[in-house]
Amino acid sequence: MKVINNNEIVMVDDNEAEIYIASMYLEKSKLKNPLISFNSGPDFLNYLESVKKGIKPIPALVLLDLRMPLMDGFQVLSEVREEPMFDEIPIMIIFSNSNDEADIKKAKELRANGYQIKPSGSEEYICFFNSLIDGV
Amino acid sequence: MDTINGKVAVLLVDDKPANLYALKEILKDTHYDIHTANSGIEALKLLLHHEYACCLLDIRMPEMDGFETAELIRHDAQVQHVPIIFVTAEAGDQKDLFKGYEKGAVDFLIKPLEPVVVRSKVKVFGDLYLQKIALKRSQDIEELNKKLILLNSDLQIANSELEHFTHIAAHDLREPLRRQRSFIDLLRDELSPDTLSRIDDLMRRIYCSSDQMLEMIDDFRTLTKLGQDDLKKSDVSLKEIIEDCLGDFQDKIKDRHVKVYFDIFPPLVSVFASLVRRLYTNLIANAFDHVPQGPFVMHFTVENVGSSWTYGVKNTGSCIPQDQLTQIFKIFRKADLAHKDGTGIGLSICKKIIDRHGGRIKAQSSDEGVHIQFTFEQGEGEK
Repeated sequence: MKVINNNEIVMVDDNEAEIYIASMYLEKSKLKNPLISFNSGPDFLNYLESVKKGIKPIPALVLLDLRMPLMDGFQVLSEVREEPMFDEIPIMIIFSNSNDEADIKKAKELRANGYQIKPSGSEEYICFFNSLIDGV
Repeated sequence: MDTINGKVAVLLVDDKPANLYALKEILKDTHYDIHTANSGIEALKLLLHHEYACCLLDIRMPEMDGFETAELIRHDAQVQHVPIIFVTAEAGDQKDLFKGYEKGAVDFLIKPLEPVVVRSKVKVFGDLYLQKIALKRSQDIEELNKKLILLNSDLQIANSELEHFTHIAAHDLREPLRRQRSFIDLLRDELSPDTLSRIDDLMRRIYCSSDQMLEMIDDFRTLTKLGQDDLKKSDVSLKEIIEDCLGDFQDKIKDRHVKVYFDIFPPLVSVFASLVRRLYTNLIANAFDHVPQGPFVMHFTVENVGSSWTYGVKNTGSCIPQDQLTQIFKIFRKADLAHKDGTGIGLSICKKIIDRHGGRIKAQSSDEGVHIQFTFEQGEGEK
């Protein structure tokens, strides 16, 4: 899975600390895309409405946390995939802790483009972001 | 319902002391506890306070005769179940007999009293009484059993909920720790090379602490998962699994000059492969944990007696105090305080894995070192 353009990478995660960490490592990686974040599914879907209207550009990539209180990652994913305009947006489901076979299967069924267990520490994070660069 | 001092009690009722004496004599070598009453009223009082196998009731009594007494007894819910044997002086008086049965007598004794007859009739009711007690006891036991089964079921549910909770808690505990790891890394990046070199040791310890906690949490999760997963057994070569596990310790084995020996293993054993992998890994790690430094010998043992196979991991260079040999499998119990590594859960996991197989695990310690042995099943499974 790779970023499709130079626009924002979107991160959807209810935990502010996760977003802070990701943004720090994104800066250190070779990826040039800026980061925008949303703390819940509804907030992210609102933003996508602006994208649909052409007010905001199509994001380069979406990192979607699975375990969120309001709407979980799968619910957000199905809603996004209902809109054909967003088919090209690569969406990655982020698992905390462990990869549950059932979860991976569901991610595929709901047409996520990939999945990733949350990286731990410098090396893992930077490696992960670098792997998203087109052409690498 | 019960016996007095473990003895069955019998009540004799007669207004004439001589008659009571005679009856007592007849019954003196029996095992019954004999109570006496001089009148119907006294008899009733005694009946209300004691349990009797039967009541020998004289018919001819002044003030209140036997029939009236019997009527009162029959009308009192508390005592109406006591068998009444009427004692009558007149043989062949039909009227007496019918009236007696009407009033609730279950039997008669005719004077002059024949000792054998008296003892025989009393024995019938004595035995009946004992049977009733035995039946009540077995009914009580059945009741208690039912309660026990319910309590056991509650306990199992509580236990399973506890396991589930621990599993979730361990899952959730991991996340802040994971983030902390990243924060430490980011912090490190902010520091100049000068500062870094000064606090290098400190940084290393912070990492260590984090890692330790992560390991513990992972072990907790494994421990709770072991009870829950659906697993299938497969036929595996234990030796191959062990060699695989040793692969992760190659560097340590080389650095410490550890000598590894294998007994002869059966070609295939039916086990939960992934669990057994974990088992051997933990036991190997445990050996390294317990021998703080220097070379030692690691021996993978096999013992076969008939159809039962006992496997084991033996290491030289360490020992476990005799009183700790069973404690080490309990969570967080470490045999000796000297070693700092290990989460204190590793051996508990080993035990749980063996439990899952239906086998047994035990530890031995001698001058030669420590030998942890285990079975996977009772005699079956080996090919």
